[in-house]
Amino acid sequence: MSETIEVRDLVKYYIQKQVSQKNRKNSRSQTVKAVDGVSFFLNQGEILGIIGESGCGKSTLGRLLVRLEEPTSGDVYMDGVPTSTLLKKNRLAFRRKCQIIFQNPFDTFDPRYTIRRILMSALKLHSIGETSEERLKISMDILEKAGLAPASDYLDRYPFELSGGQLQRISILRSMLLDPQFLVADEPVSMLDVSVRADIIRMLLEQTREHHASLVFISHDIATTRYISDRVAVMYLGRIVEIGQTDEILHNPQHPYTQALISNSPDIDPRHKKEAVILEGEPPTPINTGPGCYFAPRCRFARPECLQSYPPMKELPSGTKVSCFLLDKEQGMNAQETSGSNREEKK
Amino acid sequence: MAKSRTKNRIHAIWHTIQGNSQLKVGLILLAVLLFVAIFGPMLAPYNPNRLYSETFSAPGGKFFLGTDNLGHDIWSQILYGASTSLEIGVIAAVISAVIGIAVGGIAGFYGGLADRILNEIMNMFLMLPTFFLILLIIATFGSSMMNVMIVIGLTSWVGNARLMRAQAISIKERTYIKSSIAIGEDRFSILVRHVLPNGIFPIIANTTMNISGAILTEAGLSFLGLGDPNVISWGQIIANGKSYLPRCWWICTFPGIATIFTVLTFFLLGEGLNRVLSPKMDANK
Amino acid sequence: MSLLDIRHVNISYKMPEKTVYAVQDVSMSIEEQDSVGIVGVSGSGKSTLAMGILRLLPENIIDVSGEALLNGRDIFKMDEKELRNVRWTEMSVVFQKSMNALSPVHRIGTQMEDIYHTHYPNEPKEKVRNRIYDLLHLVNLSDRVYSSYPHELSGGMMQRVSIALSLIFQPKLLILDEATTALDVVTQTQILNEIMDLEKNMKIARIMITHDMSVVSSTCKKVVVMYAGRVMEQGSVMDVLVSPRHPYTQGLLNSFPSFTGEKKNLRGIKGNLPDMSIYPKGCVFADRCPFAKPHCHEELPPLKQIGDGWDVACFLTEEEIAHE
Repeated sequence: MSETIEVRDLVKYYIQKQVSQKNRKNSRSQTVKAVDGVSFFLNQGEILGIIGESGCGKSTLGRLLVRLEEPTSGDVYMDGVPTSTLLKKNRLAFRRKCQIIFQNPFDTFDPRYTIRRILMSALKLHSIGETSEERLKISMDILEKAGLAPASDYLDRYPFELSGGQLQRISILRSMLLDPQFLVADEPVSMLDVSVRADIIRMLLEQTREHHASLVFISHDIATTRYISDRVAVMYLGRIVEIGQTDEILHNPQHPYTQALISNSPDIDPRHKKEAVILEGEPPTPINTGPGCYFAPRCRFARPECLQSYPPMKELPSGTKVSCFLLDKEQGMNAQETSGSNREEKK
Repeated sequence: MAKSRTKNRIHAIWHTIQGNSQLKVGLILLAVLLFVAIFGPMLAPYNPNRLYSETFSAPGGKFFLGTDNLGHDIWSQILYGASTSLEIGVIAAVISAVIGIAVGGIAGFYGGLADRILNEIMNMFLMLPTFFLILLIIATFGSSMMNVMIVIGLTSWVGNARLMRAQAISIKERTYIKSSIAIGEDRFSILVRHVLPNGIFPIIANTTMNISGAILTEAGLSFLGLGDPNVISWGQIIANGKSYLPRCWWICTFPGIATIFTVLTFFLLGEGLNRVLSPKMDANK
Repeated sequence: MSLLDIRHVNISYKMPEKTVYAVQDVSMSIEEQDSVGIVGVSGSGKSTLAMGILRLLPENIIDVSGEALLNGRDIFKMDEKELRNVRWTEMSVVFQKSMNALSPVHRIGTQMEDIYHTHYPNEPKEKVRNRIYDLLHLVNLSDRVYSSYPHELSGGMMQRVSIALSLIFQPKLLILDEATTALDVVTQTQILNEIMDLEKNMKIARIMITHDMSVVSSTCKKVVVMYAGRVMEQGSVMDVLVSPRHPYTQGLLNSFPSFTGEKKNLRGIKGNLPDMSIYPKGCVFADRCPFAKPHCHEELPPLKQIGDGWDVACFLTEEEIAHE
């Protein structure tokens, strides 16, 4: 029986008070719909990438998945049990099941704690290792594995003495110490130097494979996401607009937003110049979205029906699920093909 | 390995002190104060409680700083009184800090209802005319040193609470707090082990300044006759000497100078600490 | 004569305990309408170089040697007056977080006019205002931006305002220091395309300082790869990014996953930056270089020309060994 993670209609709204500029007395409250109904399925050991730009809600989604924040509605189910129940019943057990790696490795640890204390307290909290000698040995093994050898050199250092790459490796290994079923990595390499990123990505891959854990990899960098993910979900203004096998989505994007996103991401190979899809207007904030498709105001294929109701998610023969009215028509693909999408040879 | 790190730390601290003149002077003055407080009684030439026949004797000669109306040696009194002032000042400020840290930390970290309630309590305390409250409590419960310290602490904690609350509110958004939650630590232990230690710097600086305030308050109480009559306090000496101004000026002047000296010490210390600790806080961010 | 000729520039930070050799012996020349990307990770010296050339570094703590000839005149030797004349009229800069460059309590239009007035104090108001509106249109901003405050604009719009400002006097050289790094990819592409259009029309040369190789690949013709304060390789983008010769460039390119084609093995570069307070004896990259020979640790490799406009600082290129 394989373990699965199911996300059902996850929603997170924030109420924001906004003082109207013209009339100071009038303070309206606005609803920021950071995550507006996200659902997906994750099999054990699978890696799902979530891509989208700032404001799409992916970071909020990451926090909701590990219950760092309470959803407004909807829930995450692990093997059929909602995480709200799991958390209430046994906080420690739940935290062992799902872990998160943060974007900023420099701020992930208490600056006043030594590495020794950071690791040992995590072990002690979860009763891993019977004696403190055993825990010390586990900690040192972990450090050596992270490439921080000799471990004794690093144990008594403070976070500010280590580099971003080293800190992120410790963060990943600390989380994996708990043998989680499910790991969320929220932009784990965006604050690191490019030459260090590869190591962290590889470590994430190795660790999740080794522990048979599932991974949700959140990033705005499509190329990196492609490298690590089995499947990819594209988010826009709090919703998933397209989800499917990674290479299928990247080479054959169906949703107009996905097409725009991919065509706007330059490659490092100067021979691969792309025709970028121009998106009009500014990237919006998730306030006052709808009633129709959230992308319609900027979509070059938008039709009247797109502004009236939100397109339901449909599954295509390739397995990709897309939320777009254009694909309801037979060969809605025609519209896409004339747009100059990324043409690459099929492997 | 560990030894050289502590050595490095000491080096760094030394360097910081050298670089900050307020801190340097403050520490020197503090050393003098502590010396006097600890060794004063041994160095006093006379028993401060003993009455000598040479009343109203001017400074110089047998009695270094003169004597008062009853024949007490002012110099010895000042030396003995140093420990009183220091003790009261420090303990009162610490009481104030402890209450402030607890209230502010809980209000800022937990937010919501706790924050609102505690905020109202803080506002209430701010509205109280503190000195009158102190007078009232001393008058009601007696004027022992303990009461004085407690009551000063109880009426000056709001400043610390405000500081701590602001710190808690900002620290709880930091990644390492979220990381602790994700690892599984419970909220209270996060407050105590992560939020308070990281937020405490401005409180430390503020507390040093509060020591000055407490000393002055105590001097004021003693001046009004509400201090502990069983200990020697500079305020008392000044109170006593008031009636004999301006002719026997030395009775008031010298304990007055001693008070100023002490207040200045802690003020410089507090300022210097503030300067030192704040940029470090920013660098850590 | 090149537009900007940088010759053997060294910039060091003098601190009480040590000196940091942030930029070591860097030379490059930029012609009119060139587009050059200076690429490197943090610590590579690229920002220090740019700030140094703009004379924006605090003069009392740095040591500068070498020449930076702008249209034949050495920037490092200019006095305040000359600098003021040159700044913004001949070369200008766009920084990364532009929201921090403008005053939050003044409207955009007012600030832009202020800047205009510093060089042309006697222009009539109408003329200046029209010029500002023209500039805003140039960067695809509407008129209403004129009366907006900085906090009312998005990141992308602020960067566009910065670009407009940088072009206010039609300089011949525009320096963009990580100008699009904080923007999302769609806005970034938009802005980069707009910049490239502007360049063509206004005949501007551009230096892009970035750590993002893909930005250089898609928008620049030439590239300079810097590491630990020194130039490792420089040449045309088609040469350097397609068949890099320097092991560092190779390692750097391997760190970027590819969009298309084989999911090739993503490799980083092992090791850390060298200590920048020690002037290097041998090649700065030798400690991390998979092809390093003993000789590499002993002597600093000079920048050698290996092709048309293509220079590499590596002993191994002579023997064709460092080539995967």
